[in-house]
Order: sequence, then C-alpha cells, then structure tokens
Amino acid sequence: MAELNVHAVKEEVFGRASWRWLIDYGIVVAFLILFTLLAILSDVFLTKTNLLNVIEASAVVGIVAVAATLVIIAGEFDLSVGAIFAVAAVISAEVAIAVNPIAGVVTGIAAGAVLGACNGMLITAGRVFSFIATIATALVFRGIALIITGGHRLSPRDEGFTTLGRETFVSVKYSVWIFIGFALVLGFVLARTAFGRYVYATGSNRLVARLSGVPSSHVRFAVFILSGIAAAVAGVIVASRSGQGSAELGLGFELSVIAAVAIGGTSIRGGQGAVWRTVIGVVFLSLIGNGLILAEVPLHYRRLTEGLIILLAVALGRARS
Amino acid sequence: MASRYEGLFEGLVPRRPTLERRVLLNHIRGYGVAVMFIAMFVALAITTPAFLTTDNLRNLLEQSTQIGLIACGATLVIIAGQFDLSSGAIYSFAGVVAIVVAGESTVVLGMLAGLVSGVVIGFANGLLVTRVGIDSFLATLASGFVLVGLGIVVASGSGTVRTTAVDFDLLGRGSAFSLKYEAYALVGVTILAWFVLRFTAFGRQIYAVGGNLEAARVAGVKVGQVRALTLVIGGLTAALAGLLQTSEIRIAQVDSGVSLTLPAIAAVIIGGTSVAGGRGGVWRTLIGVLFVTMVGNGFNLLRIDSVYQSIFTGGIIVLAVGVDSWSKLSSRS
Repeated sequence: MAELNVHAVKEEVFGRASWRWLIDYGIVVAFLILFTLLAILSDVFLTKTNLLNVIEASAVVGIVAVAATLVIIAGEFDLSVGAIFAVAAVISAEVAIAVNPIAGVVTGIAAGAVLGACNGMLITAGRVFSFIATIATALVFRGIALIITGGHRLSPRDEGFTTLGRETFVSVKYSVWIFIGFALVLGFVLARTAFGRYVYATGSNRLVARLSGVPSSHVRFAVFILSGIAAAVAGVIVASRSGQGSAELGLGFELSVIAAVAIGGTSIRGGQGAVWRTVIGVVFLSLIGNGLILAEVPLHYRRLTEGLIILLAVALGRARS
Repeated sequence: MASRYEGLFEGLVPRRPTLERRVLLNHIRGYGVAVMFIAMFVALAITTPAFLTTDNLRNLLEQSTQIGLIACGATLVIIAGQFDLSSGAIYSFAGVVAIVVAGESTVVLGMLAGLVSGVVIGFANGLLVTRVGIDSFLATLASGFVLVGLGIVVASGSGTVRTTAVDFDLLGRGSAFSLKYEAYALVGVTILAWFVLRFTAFGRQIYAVGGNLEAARVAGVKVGQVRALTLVIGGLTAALAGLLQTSEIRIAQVDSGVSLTLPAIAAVIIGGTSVAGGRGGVWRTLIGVLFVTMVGNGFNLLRIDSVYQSIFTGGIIVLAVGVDSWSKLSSRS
C-alpha cells in the first residue's frame, strides 16, 4: 500500500507524462546534448573523418550488443560472447592459412552459430540458468580456441585475409556496414515481427508467454544462436583487422557489451528495451571517448570518466523499471 | 472435456520427480562436490606418486588463495541473493593503492590503505544497491569500470605500478612453519566466514534475505543493511587477495584482476551454493576452489596439456549448475 502512495506523490510532483518521458528518452537527450556540445566546442568534430571514426570505433561492440539486446530482452544473459569471439577469430585465421580467407570467414561465423546453439541447448533443454551456464561455456570455448592455436598467434600470409577488417565500401569500412546491417535487420525483427513480440513476451513473463502459446524455449534457443553468430562476425572482423587470430582476443568483452545495452535503457531484467536504444548506447560510449580526446582530457582520466558515465546511465536507467 | 485443451499444459509445469529422485538430487547438490573432490584426490594419490607429498599439497593450498579469498566473500554476497562483478577490479585496485601509498609513506600504511579501499568500495557498492536501488549485477558491473579508471588515475596514468620498498613483500613471501602467510589467510577467512554464517544472527539474516527478501523484510530483518554488509565483506576479501598477490610480486596492474571475477563466482557455484541465493555455505566454496586447483595440479602432474583444463573445469561447472537447477525445480513443485 505504501508503494502506491509513493507513486501517487511522484505523479503529483513531477507530472506523470513529462517525468516518464524524460526517463524513457534520457539516453536520447543525453546523446543529443553531448553531440551538440561537441559540435559547438570543437572544429574537428563535425568533419567526415571524425564522425566516421566515432562510428568505426563502435562497430565491433555494436554488432554484438545489438544481438545481446535480443538475448537480454528475452530475459537471458550471454557471458560467452568474448570466448566465441576468440574461437571465431582463431578458426577464421586457421582456415585462411589452410584453405583461403573466404572459407575462413564462413567457417568462423558457422562456428559461432554452432557454439551459440550449444549455449541454447544447455539453457533450454538442460534448464541451466544462462548467467552461469555461459560463464562455464566461455571457459570451454576459450579452451577450444587455445587448442586450435596451441598458444601461438596465427597470422595468415594471404593478403585477402585483411580485406574485411581494413577495406572500405563507398569510403566507409565494411565493419560499419555490417553493424548497420545487423542493427536494421534485428531492429526490424524485434519491432515488427511475431518473433520479436515473442522475445518481449518470453522476457517479461515466461510462464504467461508459454500459456499464451509462445514457443518460449525456441525463442530463447534462437536468440543464443543469433548472439553466437554476432560474436563470431565481430571476432572475424577483428582478426582480419589485426591480421592475426589469438586465443586471448575478447577478454572482458562480454561486460562491455552488457554495459552498452544497459546504457541504452534496455532493462536487464528482460521484457523491455529496443535495438535503437543499444545503437544509441554504443555510439554514445564512442562519442564520449571521442569527446575526451578532442577536449584533450589527459589520457589517464578517460577510463574514469567513461566509467562514471556508465554508472550514471545505469543509475538513471533503474528508474524505468 | 474438449480434447482441444488436451496437452496444453504439458511441459509447462516441470514434471515432478518422485520423492526418491528429489532426495537424490538434493544429496547430489549437497555433497556432489565433496564426493568428486575425494574421488579425484584418491585417484591422483594412487596414480601419481608426486601428488601426495607435503610440497605438492602445500602448493595446492597456496595456489588456491587468490581465487579462494575472493570466492569466500562472494559466497556471502551470493547467498544474500546478489552478485559482485567488481571483485576482480577491487583486487587490482587495492594492490595499486597499496603500492602508491607505500611509496608516499610506509609499507604498513600502504597495506592498510589497500584494505580500507576494499571496504570503502564495498560500501559504495552497498549504497548503489540499497539506496540508489540498482540491481547488484549492474551496479557492480558499472563500479568495476569506474575502479579500473580510478586505478589508472591513482597510478598517475600508467596501467602498472611497481615498488622497491623494503619489506613490501613480507606479507606475500613470508611464511610460518614452512607455509606461506597467504595460506593461513585463506584458512582463517574461511573459518571466520563459516562461523559468521553458521552461528551468528547476521549469518541467519544473510540466508533469510537471499531466500526470500520480502519475507525477511516482513520478519523485521534490516535487509538493506544485510545486503550492503555482505558487499563490504566481499570488497574486503577481494582487497586482501589483491594485497597478498601484489605483495608477493611487487607489481600491481589496474585490470589484472578483472579475469578473476567470473572464475571466483564459478568456484562458489561448483561448491554447491545456489545462484538464486538463500542456500549454500563457505566450506563448499573452499572445496570448490580446492577442487578447481586440484584439477589443474592433476593435469600438470599427469602431463596433460593445460589447455584441456579449462574445458574440463567448464564441464564441471555445467554439471554443478545443472544439478542445482534440477534439484530446485523438484523442491519447488
């Protein structure tokens, strides 16, 4: 009962509509303010090169975060994306050495789908809590990456291997196009298709969803495959960009991905959120990094500032739920 | 009744296992890791002569201290129904603070500052969770990022700090009765945590809060205080682990501990403490940690390539968590 009164007071003080609006679109407001501020304060910011830099810096995390949005909305976590990232990078390099770079990219991504399916099986058929299951599978996957490399770095000699990571199409890097592609497709799927509605339903209340005829196990299985594919694509891109694959790639990557999703305003409890939020969250983080460089903030304050802004965004975000 | 509803509910409510199976699953959850630990211990003792030597057993204990101390605090946090994803960052941060303060003043003050930093950060985590109302998972995820940044600032811009202060390595390298201090620290902290959980009102409150938050609140438990205090303890043990390590190698790196966070949580789960909160114990965690270390030790002694070790450990965790969730399904229905 006390809870109800608090809400009533809140509504009276802040006015329901305006209060909700600010909370719901806080990240958009913050993004616009930061963007305008940088555009006014810096001559370099609005140049094509700089804006492309901002987007390029967010592409790799962005690809994985967009897929992670679906996983999180469905009420699950995937903490194995960093390890899948490494496996895909290593396999693509290995196959590029043995066969050719194109086969490398294809097998790397296929491996991601298979590992994602393993996660999905464990969580749906095995009924294991995804947060812990994917910590465990991350150990296994990274072990696989280590076995493949034997602890070495794999550097394919074929020049074609670096095409995906370094070359551009219409003067924009391939990685950015792939990020845009992922965001558009998954954004459409989540917002406009039956599958998307199933994802929301599964995340907000799995039992009710199943009673209403939503195949929630299939939905959860599918989002883990998507997450695996996205992590693999990101891994293949990074391997191609650096020209080598190593089993240590992507350590701690999963936490950055979850932070990006949470900053956008997607609830980590599931059932709420959107792909566009994650896109804004990822670009926002990259914008902060860019702004700190343009503002010539000393290098050693950058990580702290980024951390504090993540904390602030998370604190504001909890008002939504 | 119309047949169209037939089978609608099938598979919705998990099928209820028989009483015998439920009892069995609960026993496996309860003592599975202890059985596996003993089986592995006996197997290694029989197959490899080098295993059952004082030197090797001492190694085993000493190698367990880093993860063990972090996992000890994490056990209380998890039983209280929370997660601390910042424990690895606290581990590194405490080391950085200790070296920097030791450089400015004395070694003892440096060590104290390191410990205090762990307590302060744990308290800040507690405030974020109880006062600001952020999910502990997200709050500590974010505070972990802040800590790595703060570590860089404290280390004035570099990611790594070193010290040449005399006696800085006393804590990490010193030993009594040919056993390193860090091993005593692990045993001591485990016993203390076990005592608190088992015999004090605070311990029972931790179980109550993790088991059912609302019920605990209604029963008069100050849930906010209990949750915050477990995070403080988590911060303290992580800082202690970081200090011992830093003291031993005289180097601290701002993000060296980040990769310890998830393995520490994994060790707690392997021991049989429930991720959902409300069930578990510290002795379980100790066995979980020793088990993981013993797997590595055994792999080395048997000259199996260490890359297979993480695959094996991952498999064990899946098994442990699987048994945990199956036994919970059966006790709920």
